[in-house]
Amino acid sequence: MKKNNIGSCIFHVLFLLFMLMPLLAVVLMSFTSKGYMAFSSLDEMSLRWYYEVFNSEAYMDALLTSITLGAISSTIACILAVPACIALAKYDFYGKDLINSFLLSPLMIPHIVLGIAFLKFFSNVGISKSFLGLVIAHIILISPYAMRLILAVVYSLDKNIDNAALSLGSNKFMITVKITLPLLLPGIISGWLISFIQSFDELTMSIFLTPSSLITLPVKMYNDIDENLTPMITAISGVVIFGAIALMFIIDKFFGLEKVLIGKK
Amino acid sequence: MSYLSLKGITKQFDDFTAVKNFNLDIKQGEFISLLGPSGCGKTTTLQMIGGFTEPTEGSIVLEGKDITFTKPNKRDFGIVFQTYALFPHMDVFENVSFGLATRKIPKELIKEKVNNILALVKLEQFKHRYPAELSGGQRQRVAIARSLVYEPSLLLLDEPLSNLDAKLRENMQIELREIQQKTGTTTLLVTHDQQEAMALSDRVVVMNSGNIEQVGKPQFIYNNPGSFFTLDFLGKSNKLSGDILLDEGKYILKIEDFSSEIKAKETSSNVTFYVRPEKIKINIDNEIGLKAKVKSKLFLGIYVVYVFSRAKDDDILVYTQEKFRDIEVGENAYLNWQPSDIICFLGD
Amino acid sequence: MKKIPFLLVSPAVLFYIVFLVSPLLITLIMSFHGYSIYTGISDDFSLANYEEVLSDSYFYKIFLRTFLLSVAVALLCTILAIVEALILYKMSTFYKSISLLIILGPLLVSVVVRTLGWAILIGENGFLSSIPVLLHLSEQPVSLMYTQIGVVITMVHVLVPFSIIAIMATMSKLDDSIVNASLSLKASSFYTLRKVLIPQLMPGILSGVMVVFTLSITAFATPAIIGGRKLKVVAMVIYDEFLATLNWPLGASIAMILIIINFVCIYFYNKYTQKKYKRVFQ
Repeated sequence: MKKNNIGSCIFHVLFLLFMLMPLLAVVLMSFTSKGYMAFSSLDEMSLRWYYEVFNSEAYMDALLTSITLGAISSTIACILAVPACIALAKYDFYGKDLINSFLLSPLMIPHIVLGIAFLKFFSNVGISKSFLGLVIAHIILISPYAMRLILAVVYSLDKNIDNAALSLGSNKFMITVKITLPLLLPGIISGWLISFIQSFDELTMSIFLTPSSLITLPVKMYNDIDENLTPMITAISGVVIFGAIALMFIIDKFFGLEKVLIGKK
Repeated sequence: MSYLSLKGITKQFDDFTAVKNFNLDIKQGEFISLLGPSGCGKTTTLQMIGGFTEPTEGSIVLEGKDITFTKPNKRDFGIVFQTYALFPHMDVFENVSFGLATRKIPKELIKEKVNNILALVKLEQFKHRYPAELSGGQRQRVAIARSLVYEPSLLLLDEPLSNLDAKLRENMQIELREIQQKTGTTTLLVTHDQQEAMALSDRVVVMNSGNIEQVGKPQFIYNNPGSFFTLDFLGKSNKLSGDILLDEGKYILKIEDFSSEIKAKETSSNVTFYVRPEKIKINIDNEIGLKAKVKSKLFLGIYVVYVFSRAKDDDILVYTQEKFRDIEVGENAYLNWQPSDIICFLGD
Repeated sequence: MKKIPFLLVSPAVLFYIVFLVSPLLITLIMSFHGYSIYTGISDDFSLANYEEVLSDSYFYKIFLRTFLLSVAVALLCTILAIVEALILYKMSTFYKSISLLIILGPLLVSVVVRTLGWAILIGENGFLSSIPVLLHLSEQPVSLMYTQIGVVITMVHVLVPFSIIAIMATMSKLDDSIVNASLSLKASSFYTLRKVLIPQLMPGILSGVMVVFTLSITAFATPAIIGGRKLKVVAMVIYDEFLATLNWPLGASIAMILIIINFVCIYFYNKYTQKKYKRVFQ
């Protein structure tokens, strides 16, 4: 297989730069010492805006809200997904393919449509602009991500393992507890992580549902870009980017980023 | 009374019948093989015996008790799968002790039994390794140990050696037979490898398209196949054609100038018969036999393969170990055989 | 015993029926209702909203703009992704892994942050805006903010990872020896590319096109931030109707049209790839 020529290498480097540029811009801007959005020269850099953002009650509340929302939604999504995936992978039953598609269907619905649909539904039911509504909406949004991952893991298990356990005298319940669930654990964890990230980053749908008292981080940032653009946004972005990098290395170390995002062999 | 009895077992799927009216009596301590090509129904039969599939018709009786519909976890059988199906998140000790734990055996006794069986399969020092850290052959032995440790009534083996390379497979075959004889466990092996079936079994059941083709001791069915299917599946053979004539009160089979005695009831012309390659003798001392010329020669170490061509009809394959019959390509020889080595399907 | 799988899927299925199907159905029904500023949402049933959306030139312009924008984004993403994927294909594992971390990493960061980054770069005093000045091509910084091009560039950045994922997924199933066989038969590299590699990657390429296109026509944050009020896209109109004008029924009808367009794209994609590539990729 021929190696890449110089032209390809140049293109590749430029492409990588293209992917990194906006994130670098944000991070660089976050070290500005000035009171407005502008780049600082190296000797004028400061951590001023990081201090400000960590002292900002509004931003810290938003961060906490997003983390809590993500954790709760991901956990419930996984609790719903695990039994469903076990059923889809290990049993043959009427309507199996239909249910499979149905449970993955939120992936095909635009976030904006989900946003307004939930807005209407929650206002009908009386929980509009509530944290509960936000959690429900996020669970629907992120479940397919958890399901896709966990389903792949269940499918990859040796089909004979259950039969072997049966032949050794175990009943189906004990097999689920002692064998299936422990084997699924890595998949469940990576499913949880992917769901958490999707929830934490989500903007379009959340804009319609977020209570003003408990605003999520992306929504707050969007509002501030519109109304109140200061380098504080870049500082919180810096925190988010750092968190994403850390998470990325963790996912790659334990599961392989390619496998989780692409589903490699 | 037989130990395990399969009566009229049939498995019908929507569009085809996998197993048709399977009848077999297995003696206690016997090593019996189900042998046949893929799709012959052997694995389905094993699944029914193991309890993973229910027969459409028929019954399975173990020591007088009907277990046809007993759940697999209540049958007290041991099963070794083709993929071994070891529990990846448990080490060797935990895997092997699993069957004892489900039987609520006390911890101390479990330890003793596991150590004993691991010694038997020569894996004591791997007690705390995980399946991912073991080689194919080692995993196979763990699977065997796991099934035997609780002294099951029956050991089922589903093509357990097919994932191993040739050399390892040979060694494992020997070990498997030794282990089985030491423990005296009644064993049923399913395989498509005729060499494996014949090497390990007390009896072989040859299966074809859901039916039992023939049952018998390996040596017997090899030399006395009941049909062309069995003959061809168990090994190579040469197809020849001759006439059955009456000569001084005895029936003989004559092919060209070579005649040998044969048990027959009447004369017949243009009879098809078969002789296995290792039963053919190469004769260069005199002219008794079928005249043929060496077409090609392959030295395989254990034996030499000769292909002989004749003036008419097909080539003849000969396996020989006889060093002093070393003849070269292009040379002539006479091929003959013992009357007992003639395989003929006349219905007699 | 036979009921076990149904018991296992029921929590998720029931949750979905209550919290996914119902909201969508209610929204669909609402799209047929009328609305007035004084009396709110009325109970009547008609296609008036749909007629309005499909006939009014205001909406037509916005739909067209969104469509063209998405076509441009999908095209650019695909071309970039194909070239980059081919380069990655020939890379050693080490550099490939690092490159993938850099390319896919941004997916873990919220679209707001990524868009903010572009806003900084192409804003009035942005780094990229200043380049023409440095190159003496212009006296003032040239800002791409609030322009179509700016929106396209940012969207491409946000969505190109999806194209790459789609192509890489197909790539991992490729058989290297087929490419080597072609090369050993004296076919030139470029010919091999055209006739051997790209046809095999087609399902992945098309999948990427579909994903990027559907995400693009429904996008909100990036066009809103970079494009602003003057370059409205369909998603922004829905936003306006629901949170500004409060004509929910009209907004609902636009949303329904969007979903239908989405499903139509997915349907035709499935139909096309099934027919064309089913025999090849059993």
